[in-house]
Amino acid sequence: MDFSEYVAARGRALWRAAWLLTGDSHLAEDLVQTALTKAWPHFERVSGDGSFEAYVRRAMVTTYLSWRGRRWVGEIPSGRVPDVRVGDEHVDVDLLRALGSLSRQQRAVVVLRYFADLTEADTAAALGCSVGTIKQHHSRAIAALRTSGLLDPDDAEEAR
Amino acid sequence: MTELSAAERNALDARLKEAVPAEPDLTGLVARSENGARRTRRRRRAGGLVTAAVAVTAVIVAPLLIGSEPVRDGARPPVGTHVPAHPCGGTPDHADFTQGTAAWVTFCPTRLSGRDEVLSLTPTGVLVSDAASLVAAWQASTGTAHSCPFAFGSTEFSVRVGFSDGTSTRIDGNTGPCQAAASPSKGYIGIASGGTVYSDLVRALGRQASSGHTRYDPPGPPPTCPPSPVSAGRLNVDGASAPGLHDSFFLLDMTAVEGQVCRYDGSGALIASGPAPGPEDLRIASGSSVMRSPFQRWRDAPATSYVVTLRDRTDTWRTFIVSGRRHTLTFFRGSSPGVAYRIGFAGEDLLLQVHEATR
Repeated sequence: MDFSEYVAARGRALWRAAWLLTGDSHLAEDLVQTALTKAWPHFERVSGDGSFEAYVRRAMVTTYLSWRGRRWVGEIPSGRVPDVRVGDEHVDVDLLRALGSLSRQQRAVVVLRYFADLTEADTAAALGCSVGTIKQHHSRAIAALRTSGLLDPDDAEEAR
Repeated sequence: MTELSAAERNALDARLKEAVPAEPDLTGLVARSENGARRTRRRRRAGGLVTAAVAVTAVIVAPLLIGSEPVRDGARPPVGTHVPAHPCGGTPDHADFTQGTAAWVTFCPTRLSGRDEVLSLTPTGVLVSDAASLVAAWQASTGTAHSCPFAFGSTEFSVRVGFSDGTSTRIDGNTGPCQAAASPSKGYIGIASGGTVYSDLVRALGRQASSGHTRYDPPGPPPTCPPSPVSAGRLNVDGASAPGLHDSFFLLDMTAVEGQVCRYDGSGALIASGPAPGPEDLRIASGSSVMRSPFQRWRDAPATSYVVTLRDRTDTWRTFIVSGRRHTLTFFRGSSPGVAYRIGFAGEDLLLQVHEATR
């Protein structure tokens, strides 16, 4: 498998995880692109043993954690837009709000554990920290998500 | 309890998996990633060469350049103009903004400028050729500074003006209708509106950058609208001015003489196109009407996307996109194809211009 084939096969899955980390389609694409850019020079060296995925995942998470400059400030709502077409995109605002209340590390742990279905050890490898630290982030994230009501099975049903 | 119950886990799984929207077309991802990696390698290699060159320069050439320190872009000041190596450094010390002849003008980072941005959000370039006349117009517009409400969609900026006596003044403002203010100058002194100051300087920098290209290349045909916004990077074309384009986040170094706007509906289908009625206005709005918040609450905003391509007199074409319900602003650098850089969100002025072009 060459790099193009890898991206064709895994790009969408990476983008979906990136979207849950960022909550934004374009930021997600930027994040995946940046991670692939960082990982690409190492593709030939590590692709043979199947570890390139972990390499990309780690690049994506560390890039996400380092994007302090993209925590943009100054949200400015406007009631006036030049078009009236209403889009059909459905955004689970409650989910984004709940994820947004977490620290970046906690959010990454939730996405990797429950969306990417990684083990604690693989999650720790992606974040570059110990399993104990992952457990700590996980514990705090779960407590926060419970408070938000996101884990209520009835709410999940209603959101569908 | 820090572990999830089975029901909680199912609920979380479902919310996470169902929340993710449909993926965009990622076909350009391979090329962009490879291009990015190649650029990183080139920069690293260039860094080594630069280190060596700096060492040589420090020993051999620097003594010859004392008194004419390098500016941070390709613009060379007229003979006798002294531009500091770091024009935004130091404390502004010009006593009275209304007095004195300007030698240079430049944009400086603001408090909102991030240190780890991929591209600078501060327009690059030092204006020297028209600095005196530009600042003279601002000096003639001075009045008492007054407060006014922040304008939606305006962008904060900071400008430094260097005078011929070696002193400097700082001008702060935003690109809305509020007055920009110069300091120190017996306290703050209000000058023209921030929007005027900003666009004046952007236009002048564009003219200065273009002035080196005396050859007029007959325009090629305008590019046809791409089948969808995701392939807009292919519209970038390199003319004679392309090698001099800076790593600025918007189209500073070109003076736009022609433009085209393509409009797409929420599914990415082309629905209209038209020439840009004011290509220079559109170019300036692409830098002045930018917001940085990623979570606009325009829930009823359109999913319409616009692909804008602007041409300068050397037949260089550069493209940006205003996309989706959040009006995300993405620029393309380079060509074959251009590499996308998401900058922020289009403000109202820019939205109105692209909308009008395709009405």
